[in-house]
Amino acid sequence: MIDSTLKKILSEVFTQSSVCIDDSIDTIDEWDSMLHMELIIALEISYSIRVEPGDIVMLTNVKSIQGYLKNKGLL
Amino acid sequence: MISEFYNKLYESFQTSGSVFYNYYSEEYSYKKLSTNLEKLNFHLSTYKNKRVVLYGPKTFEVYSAIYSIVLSGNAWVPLNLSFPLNRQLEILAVLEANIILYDENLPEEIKSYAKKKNIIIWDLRSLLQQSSVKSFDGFDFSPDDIAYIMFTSGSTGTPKGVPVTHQNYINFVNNAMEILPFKKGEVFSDYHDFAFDISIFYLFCAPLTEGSISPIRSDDEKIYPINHILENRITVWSSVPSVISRIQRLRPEEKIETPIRIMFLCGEPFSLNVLKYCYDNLELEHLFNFYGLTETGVENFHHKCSKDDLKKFEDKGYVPIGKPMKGSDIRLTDEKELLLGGCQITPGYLGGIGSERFEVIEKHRWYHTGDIVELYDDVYFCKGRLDSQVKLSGYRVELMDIEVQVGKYPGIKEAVSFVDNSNTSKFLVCALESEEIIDLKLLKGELRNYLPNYMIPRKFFFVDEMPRNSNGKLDRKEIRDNIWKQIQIRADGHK
Repeated sequence: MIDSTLKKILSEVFTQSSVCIDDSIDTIDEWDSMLHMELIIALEISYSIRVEPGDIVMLTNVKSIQGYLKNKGLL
Repeated sequence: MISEFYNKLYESFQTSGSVFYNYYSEEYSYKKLSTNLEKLNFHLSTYKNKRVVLYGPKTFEVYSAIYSIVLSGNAWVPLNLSFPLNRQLEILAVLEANIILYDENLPEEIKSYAKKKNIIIWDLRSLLQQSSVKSFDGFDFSPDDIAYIMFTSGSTGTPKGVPVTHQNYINFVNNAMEILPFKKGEVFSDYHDFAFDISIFYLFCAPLTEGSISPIRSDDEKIYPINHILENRITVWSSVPSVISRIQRLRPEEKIETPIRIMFLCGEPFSLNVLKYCYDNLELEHLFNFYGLTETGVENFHHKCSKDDLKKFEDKGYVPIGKPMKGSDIRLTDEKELLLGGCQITPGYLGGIGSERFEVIEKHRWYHTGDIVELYDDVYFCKGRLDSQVKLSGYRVELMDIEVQVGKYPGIKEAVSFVDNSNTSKFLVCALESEEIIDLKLLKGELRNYLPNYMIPRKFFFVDEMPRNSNGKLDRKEIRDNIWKQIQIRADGHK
């Protein structure tokens, strides 16, 4: 299950409603380096966080994004 | 001039004691590169002026193959691995390739196509495992022989092949060597795909400065290249400006100390906003904007930026493309379209497609760039396009190419695509007039079989009937500026 706020962010960035927990940069065709940056910016704004450079390149699948937000106590 | 250039290049391969390829802990010397060149030349030297397709990622072995193909007097053809298989097959069909050299699992479909067309297939790694070598005995090429062939988007829906001669690209490399303040042992970045001709810049300037090349090989590194720059101590960066503007968007306030000394930007408009960021946040010393086309031998104009540009060109909002470089002649049409002439003008597209873009005027060949330019304060600015070609992250995209592919989908009567650049990030949109209900997911899936990812529209919308002007021509402006805007306003209202 994807958190509803996160799901909304993902759906808006990738303009598709059917994003699921197993999706990643390999399964969503639109998810390229440009949209990844849009996603990071959207996460930073929505959760009032700052994603460190090392994490930016790790958050390339929905599971790791959800885990990252959970570890920060945001979900 | 040609043999002098290659002798110098070959000498630097043979005599340089430094590292050529540097990817984190993976390092390969010029000595190892020279050995690889001679091993590959053992096979390649039996051919001359053949079209050799190179299929593989940015490994040291693939770099070795590029140089060996060119130095052996054959034509290098990079095949973009991120392209859909159908587009790769289309390219092979237009190309009439002679040899395919691969360093990654070659798709079965390409193998069977090659077999059908009697194209030789070589596995790069197995050639390099053999011990036979052949040294290069001179580089007595004609200036008009083809050194490489690159493919661009074509308005008919088929990619266009652009053969580039030794003379064409060497003139650009010599200009770059003269203009840029290189020192010995620079570390060059390699951000884009080989099939984007910015690759010519670092592929040839790096060895001529006894420098090394540090490629970006994974999507992770592409996303936020700062880590790669710092880890690999990049001193010469080359990319399209939007790569820098992405870093800027994420960290607009932060200062990032990098080892970059020289920044070579090209391929799309370079905004003053990005220039300011380069000076204020990245504290860069030598910044250059280049302008050119694959058809005109990589780059033809250059501008050395200065902090004064921020004030001087404030009204324009963009960095100028500057002045033509040595060997490039210019003339403007009544519509202010830039025509380029001189020794970098390539021989014309494969198969003669689009030959009308090359025109002989007063006994000289000129290339119609389709770009409208303006002279201001002694430098040129690019003002836009005459046709429907757009640039996205440095990729040239013919909107017609997209529309042809979308129009082939069952039930679609007409398609009109355009770029939405109302926000900081540009993306493609496509308006559809259809005779039946279209499943957009299926449509996108089908398009992915024929178009590279950057050519798939991010958003689609339907119109009952395409608007037309009094001449019956499609009113693209109405679709883009009114209908699409209204749809967005309604969508924002529902959020």
